[in-house]
Amino acid sequence: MSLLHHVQEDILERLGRVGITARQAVESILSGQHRGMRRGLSVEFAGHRPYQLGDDIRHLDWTVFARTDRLDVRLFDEETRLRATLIVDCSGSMDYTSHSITKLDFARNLAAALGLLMVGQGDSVGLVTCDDKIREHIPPLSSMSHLLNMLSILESNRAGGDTALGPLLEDLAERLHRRGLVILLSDCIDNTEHITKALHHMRYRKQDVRLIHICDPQESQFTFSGAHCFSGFENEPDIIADADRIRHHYQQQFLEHQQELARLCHQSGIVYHSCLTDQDIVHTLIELLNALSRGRR
Amino acid sequence: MLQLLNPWMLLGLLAIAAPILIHLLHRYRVRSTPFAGMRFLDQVIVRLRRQLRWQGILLLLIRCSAIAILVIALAQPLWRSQQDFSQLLERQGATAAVIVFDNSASSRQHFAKLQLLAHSYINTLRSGDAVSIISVDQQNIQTIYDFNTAHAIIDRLEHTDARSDVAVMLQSAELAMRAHVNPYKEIIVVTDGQKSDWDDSSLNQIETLRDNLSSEQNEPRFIMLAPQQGYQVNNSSIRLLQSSQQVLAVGQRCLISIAIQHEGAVPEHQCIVRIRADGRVIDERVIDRSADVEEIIHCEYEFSEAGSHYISAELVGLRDSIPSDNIRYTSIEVTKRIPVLLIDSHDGKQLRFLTYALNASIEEQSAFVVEHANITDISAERLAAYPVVVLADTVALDSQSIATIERYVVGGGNIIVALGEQSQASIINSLWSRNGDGFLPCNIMDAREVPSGTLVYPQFKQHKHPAFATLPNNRDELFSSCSVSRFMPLDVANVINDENFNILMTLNTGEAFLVERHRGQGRVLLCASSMHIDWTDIPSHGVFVPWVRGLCSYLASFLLPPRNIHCGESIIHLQHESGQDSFVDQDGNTIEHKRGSWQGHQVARSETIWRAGLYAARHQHQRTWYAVNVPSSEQQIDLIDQQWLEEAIPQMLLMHNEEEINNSWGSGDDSATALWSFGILLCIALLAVEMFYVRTLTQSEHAQ
Repeated sequence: MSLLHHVQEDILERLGRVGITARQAVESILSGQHRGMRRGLSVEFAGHRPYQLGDDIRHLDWTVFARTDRLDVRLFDEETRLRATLIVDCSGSMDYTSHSITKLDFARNLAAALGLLMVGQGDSVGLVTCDDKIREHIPPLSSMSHLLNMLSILESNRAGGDTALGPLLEDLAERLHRRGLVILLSDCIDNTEHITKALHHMRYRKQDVRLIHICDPQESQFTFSGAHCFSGFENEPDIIADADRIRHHYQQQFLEHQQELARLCHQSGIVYHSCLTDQDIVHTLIELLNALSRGRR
Repeated sequence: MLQLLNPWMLLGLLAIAAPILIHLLHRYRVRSTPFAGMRFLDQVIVRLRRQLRWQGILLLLIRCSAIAILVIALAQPLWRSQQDFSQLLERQGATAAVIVFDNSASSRQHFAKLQLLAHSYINTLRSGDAVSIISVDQQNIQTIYDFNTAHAIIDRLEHTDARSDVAVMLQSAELAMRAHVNPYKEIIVVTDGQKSDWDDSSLNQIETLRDNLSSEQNEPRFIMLAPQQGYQVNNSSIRLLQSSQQVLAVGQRCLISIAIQHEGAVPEHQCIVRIRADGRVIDERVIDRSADVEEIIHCEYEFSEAGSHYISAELVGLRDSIPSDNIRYTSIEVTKRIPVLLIDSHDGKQLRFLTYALNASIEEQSAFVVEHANITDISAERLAAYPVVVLADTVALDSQSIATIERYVVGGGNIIVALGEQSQASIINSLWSRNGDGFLPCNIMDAREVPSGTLVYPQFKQHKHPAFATLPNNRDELFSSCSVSRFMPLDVANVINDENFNILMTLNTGEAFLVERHRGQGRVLLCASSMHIDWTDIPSHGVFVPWVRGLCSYLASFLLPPRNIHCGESIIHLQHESGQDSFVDQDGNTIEHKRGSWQGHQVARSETIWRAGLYAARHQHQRTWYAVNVPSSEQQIDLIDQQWLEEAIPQMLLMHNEEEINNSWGSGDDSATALWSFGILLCIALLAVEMFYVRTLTQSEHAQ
């Protein structure tokens, strides 16, 4: 089953069946995106049309009404639509799983679901896949064919390579010229300062940035027992350790990393959301949309 | 200084390699696990590397230490302050100990020391060991697990005046040991170290004991605890107090012989021997004491009244090793006349000279009352009234008479058998002798004529035999003028080695003339010739009268039941018909007794007498004296030395003092047990620390 079918049938259909709260959340974030974008400085005026029943009275052009005593509504260009860029980390560490679904699979599903939701609302969605360098960079477009191409690329990407998000995001920030939304899906196993500094740079480039931190439950809980020879996915040297004896210290280390990341994101105005790969992806998506909407407001 | 009882257990220290190997294998036998969070893991490891290494080393040290301490504890460490460990005796487990405590007469001088040695040994026993205590007077085979009780028993022990019967005590020790369940056996002989205690039967008993107690796993251990050798030995003793006869007629003089022995470092001064009869001093002698010389003195005394009397001999004013042997008693029964029964099948012709000899002369008061009886009058009741019966030239007796005579002899009767014309060897051998089974001492042969011109006369073979005590001193010449013309040779070949058989006189040709044989409680004298002048001219010589009287006195001189006994025996007293008899000691203390029977007589039997002295059986105002003396074997001082012990009992260890005992086993209150238990406790504590530490390191992680 292709990624598109999987996301459409398993995720979006279930998303459609979820309660009113979730649905409203989806609509809220999407409608919010539109409003926000129209109010921006870069909004380009397209013309007027007569007011029709049901139009938002806030869109009435009061200047025209004062001058001509007609109720006209202002119209804007298509450019005012949301330009979202999904950055998916495809480094080697994203290939890890302690159960059935890898972090990369989880990120793919999330990215595909968000892309479908956005394109369905007529927004533009772009994709960046990367490890320690940018593998693919697809600029945002709102067509379905573009989305299918994007999903195909996403599906064909395999995990590998080292993680170096900092310079990569710095580079990417230079490429984003127009205001937009950047959603980074990564396990963030990198220097937190480098990541947040790069994301802060994106914020400076007028991008609305969201960081989705994808973790495997074993990474956070470290429930191994006994002696293990741990081998990494990104050419790290093997480490022999008694898991029982270092568990507490590892958990502390991981928590510090997570808290540091969240703190730095908060300082930079970046919405941070952490999720575990063993969670239900629909609920994760709802929580994510809620978080994104809260961050937006 | 630390000493290990089981040093071979230290091989267990190799087990320390186990945790080290496990530790090393643990490092290489790890599961390979792919993991994404290596960045965090690396940070943790970098930060904890030193701490983890020390934790590992600490755990390894704890585990190795626990094993090492357990192994050392199993090696049974002993902490001693003494420097000499050369004689350390190893106890590999629960020990069964039997203490054979020799509290015989000779132990008196060092009794407190013996008790101290026994206490020291008991102190070496540990919890789980068991002990039995056997002494001369208390052969209790009770198994004692409480050592305080054992100490109390040792404290309650008293010295006796009895003989040290080591063989019997060792037999009791074997019984006691069989009641024990502990696998390791120790036989401890606490003795004053008298060599005389260890006769052949004792040495054989040791061998028997060793054989019986040995098992495949364990050999019994024999240890002798004896006081330090070389102490000042100084003992003078009345070794012998003997009356020529225990039964006397009134007016008959008894010859009293007293043997005095001085041993060891005897001070060279004189001492007094005081002789008493019924408590009155009858004689007093001053003697010179010289070491290792036995001095014999004699005196005579004549009792004027019938009844039970006693004579005592005492060394006055001495301080020596064994005070209880400085006085000795002998009991003498005085009767008005000694009845003798003469049995003849004829008209008394054969017994005529014998009757003349025993009967009193006109001017002399005879000690004997002679009665005659025919062979048809032999009955048990008749015989019982006479301590001495003479059978002279008797023709064949019927079987009932023979059986009656045999019962009489076995029950304490005494018979003199003289042969003669009527005696037929074949009948006598088949009915009287029966190759030694009958009452006659031996078989006889057909009568033999002495060739004319040949002088055959009797001569003494045992000059000092009590039967000849009344004869003059020139005994070799007494019978030299006599001649024997006819006799029936005695066939002594079959009985010559019998310890109850004695040849008292022989003919000058070497053939036995007068023989004696003990049979049961009685004695039988057999003369190869006749008591008549037809066969020998002895009756016509002056020696005949004292010779015959001596034989009769000798046979009649034995008191039955015996009144002169040794410590360790019971007094047996023929009970009065009323049964109101009682026993008292010299101080008037009553001695417990029981009724019983002895040789068909109703008797009162006292409890075992452990103290020497004079005892009396009382019936109303009548007293019968019993003399209880220290056995002569206890009066010798001949101490065991290491060389003798190694030769006689090579498997016996000899220790002299408490220090040696403590050095050999360690006393019970030393630190041996503490170190053992301390080691076990420390091991358990270390294992607990290890478990707690591992739990802290691991399970607390799960909790978080």
